[in-house]
Amino acid sequence: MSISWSVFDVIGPVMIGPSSSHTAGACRLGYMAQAINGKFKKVDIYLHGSFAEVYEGHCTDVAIVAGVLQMDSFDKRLEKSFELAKEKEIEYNIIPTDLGEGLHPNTVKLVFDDNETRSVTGSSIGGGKAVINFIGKIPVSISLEHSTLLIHFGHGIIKPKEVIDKVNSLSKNIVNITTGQYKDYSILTIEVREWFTPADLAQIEAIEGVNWTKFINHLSNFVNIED
Amino acid sequence: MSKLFYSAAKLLELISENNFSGIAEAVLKAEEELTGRSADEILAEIGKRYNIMKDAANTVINDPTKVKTKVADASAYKIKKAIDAGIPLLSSLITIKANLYAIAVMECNASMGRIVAAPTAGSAGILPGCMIAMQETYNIPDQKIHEAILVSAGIGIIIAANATFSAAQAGCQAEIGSSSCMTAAAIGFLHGLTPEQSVTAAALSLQNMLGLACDPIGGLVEVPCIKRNGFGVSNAFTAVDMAAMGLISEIPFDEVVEAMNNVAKNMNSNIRETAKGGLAITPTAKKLLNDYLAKKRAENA
Repeated sequence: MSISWSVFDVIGPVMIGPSSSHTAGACRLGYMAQAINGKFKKVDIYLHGSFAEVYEGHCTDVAIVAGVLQMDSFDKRLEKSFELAKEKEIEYNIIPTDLGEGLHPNTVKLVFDDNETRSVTGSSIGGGKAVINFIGKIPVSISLEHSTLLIHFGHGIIKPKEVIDKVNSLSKNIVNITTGQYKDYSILTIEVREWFTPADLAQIEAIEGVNWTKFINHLSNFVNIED
Repeated sequence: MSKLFYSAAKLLELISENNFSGIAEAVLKAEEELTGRSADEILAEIGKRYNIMKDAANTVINDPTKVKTKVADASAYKIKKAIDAGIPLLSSLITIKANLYAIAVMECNASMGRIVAAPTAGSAGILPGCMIAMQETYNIPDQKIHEAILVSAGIGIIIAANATFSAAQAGCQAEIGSSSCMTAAAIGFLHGLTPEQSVTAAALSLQNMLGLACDPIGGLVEVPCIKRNGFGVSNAFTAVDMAAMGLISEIPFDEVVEAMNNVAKNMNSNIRETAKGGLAITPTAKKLLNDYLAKKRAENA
């Protein structure tokens, strides 16, 4: 993953207070997690480190729920996210915990609909920036600075190179490719400057050994405020 | 040739190699290269953000009832009243005005209002505070302020690339320290300093912030964060005056940023945004927090 700092990452994000790492970054983590996961009815939110210590005062929990409801960090409805979740009949549980050694102090794990293997773990790295570090136990590095295609496959069945060759054959403007592996499964993270169409994805999913794909549009750091 | 920069040394080199007018132009060119956006689009977005900053400051200045802080005393309106009454000041009027706007933005932030992190929410008051006060005092056109904000972003990009803005990782030096030093460079630009002098001002102001603990009461972005934004303002102005008078930073900016990293490694996690050390564990901090929690419980009951 390429983390680059634009003027508007430094002078930004535009956001609802009080904390860029514990509120805006948390909201972004929630947003990225739901984008990776897709539709859901229930989410368990495990807070780690400084997130677990001071989440109440920073509205970290409120912001993560706002993010999983697809709100931006500047959305004035952010502080009402718990009520909105109830209206949408989405169950959420806030669970302060210790996720173990070696993690960034501002880390959260989101488990959607009790599906641990698709859980999304990410860190808020300061100034509103955030990175997804794990999907299930597979290490990834996802920031959505570029539009991103995720491909989950069993590498006992197919080699990463074969998947990459298939993606390359679609002739997309690729910025960066990374692979993460845990036991027999891998995720390819492919950052691109354009779109993968549903037809492109169908071609990739047709490869034997590919379990799922997900294409996620990048997050702009320009504000689009309407209120 | 790429115009991207990850150090102050490189930034200054790019300016002289390309005959840029200064830091603002260099940052604009780098942003164009990085994002593919045009200069006009970038400057328009800066303008939008400056307006949001001003709105945030103005939200609470005249009306303490708009301040929804949990433990911090509403302060901006007191400063406004004192300035309007013309009470004798020991600091310069521009410093106190910048203090007013900085604290006002932070009170808006603590009240879950909309702000622009610069570079973080906990340090969101310093840049707008100084920019609004400079504009008011010296009648500076908006366009020039937008360029100054680019200068501050340039310094911020160097810190982000080599260190962090995260207080959970590096304490308050990474937030108020970064913000104050970014703002010093921006004020330097508005005050007619050379790019080298502006970088010196940034280096001096950051040096003075090394080691700053992040120890807020109850982990809330209120005490000492709100008023510390006011002190970040004074630190920036002093650094610019020093650089303008020809004072130098014996340690170059890029090495000061490295030093911040080193200090971070020596900081116990109790003073890195966990509310387990420093001011957060004083008897009065505990009392203020308990009073707030009791009040909240009573409201919910």
